[in-house]
Amino acid sequence: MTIACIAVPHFALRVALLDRPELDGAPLILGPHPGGRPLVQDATPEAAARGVRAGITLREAAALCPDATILTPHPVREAAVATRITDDLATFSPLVEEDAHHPGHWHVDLRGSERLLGPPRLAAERLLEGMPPLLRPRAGVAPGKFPARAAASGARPGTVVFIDGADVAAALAPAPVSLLPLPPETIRRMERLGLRTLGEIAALSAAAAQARFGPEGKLARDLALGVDPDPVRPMPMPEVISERLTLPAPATSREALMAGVQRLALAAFERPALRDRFIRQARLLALLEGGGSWEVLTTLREPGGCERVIRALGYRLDGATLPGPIERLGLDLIAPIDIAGRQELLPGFRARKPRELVEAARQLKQRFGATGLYRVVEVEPWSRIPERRQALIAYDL
Amino acid sequence: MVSHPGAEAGADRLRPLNEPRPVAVRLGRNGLPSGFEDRGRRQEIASIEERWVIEEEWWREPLRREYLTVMTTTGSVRTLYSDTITGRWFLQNY
Repeated sequence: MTIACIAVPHFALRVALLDRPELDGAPLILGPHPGGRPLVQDATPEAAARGVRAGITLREAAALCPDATILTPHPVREAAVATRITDDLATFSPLVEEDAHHPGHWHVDLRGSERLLGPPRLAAERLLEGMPPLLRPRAGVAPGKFPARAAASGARPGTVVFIDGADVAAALAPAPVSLLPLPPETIRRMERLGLRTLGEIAALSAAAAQARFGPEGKLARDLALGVDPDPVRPMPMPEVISERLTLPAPATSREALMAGVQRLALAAFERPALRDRFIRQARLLALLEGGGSWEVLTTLREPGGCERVIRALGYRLDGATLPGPIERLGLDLIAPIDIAGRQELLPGFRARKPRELVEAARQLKQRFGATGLYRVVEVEPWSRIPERRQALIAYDL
Repeated sequence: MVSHPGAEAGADRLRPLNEPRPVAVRLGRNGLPSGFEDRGRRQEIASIEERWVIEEEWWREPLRREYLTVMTTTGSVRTLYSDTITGRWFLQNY
């Protein structure tokens, strides 16, 4: 397994630079989403060198680095750039995965691509050539997803770090433990115990790692030794039906927004592609006056039609604060499926306690002290997590 | 489904329902399940009918599941999910 990891550190900031290339090299700070708490989300190395880091307030950041430029996240633009990169990489290999936990990282399985792309290092260079230089992409090549990401984290922009299969553990040894895909609390525990590099984790015995950190310890040791059997999982490419609408006047209220949502949903479900079909996910995109963007993704508990989509988006927008006047709206209806039959209750059917059951339960309780019978009660019937919808409760008389 | 009894229920009287059951899943070359073993019975997957992702409660205990409705070679339809945080697979009615 030879995997290339293409990395764009500080992805949201680099994407913002595509609009304002003149800011490249200046200290940049990624601010909150419109309406969010005024905390720093990310900072370029130029700002980080002055002490700015994610999590501090914008006021502190401005004091530390007064000449920094604060940029607003643009999730719609980021998603569009990420999709374009995924599509471009997919022209080289059918196995491309956008790393869900590390924005701006893609894994490409290079198996079988030698005749098309050449040896792995050359192949990774060709993958980089297709990326916008302003994103400062870099790549790592190794026999696994984690070693490839670790290699990419040590590469300079525009270069490839190649780790040969024979010395993966040695190449990973100086890398910090913070690269491990573990919860921050586990990483902090490792650092408090003096385990700061992957080499120190690899030097532990399997039993010691597992005894101290549980399953996460075993995973950490395997990864530090370069053992990562997790294959590249290509992202599903669901069918998407999109509608766009320019509002006659910028919308500032929920009512105006919902009127736009209704028009979009009705137009989308009029299209032949959605005839006799339901959808499971809907994404509402909003372009704000002044250049920002905002999006809401909702997943229906069960696939539904036009009315359910409008209702689900209405629920999501109920508690939301509009980040600013909205100029354009878009609706993506994701992964339509053919309508499946749904069994409703027959007319006049109602649950009731049959007399025989009540009598049997009474006799059981007299004999054993409890009936041993349970009934189903709804707990969170609206939940998308199946085990939270219903529970069993003792059937007592 | 019966109506709620109205009686006060202690937490000790509630029993979970439809809890996910761990299964061993075999992945194909495309990274998708090609079969699974449930209670000692091997089942081969003929087709994947649907895929969707649930991502919730990042503010409490993050939960991220990728559900798949699959049809087995024997014709039964089952719902599997991959807990993408732990990498484990489960079988659960949706």
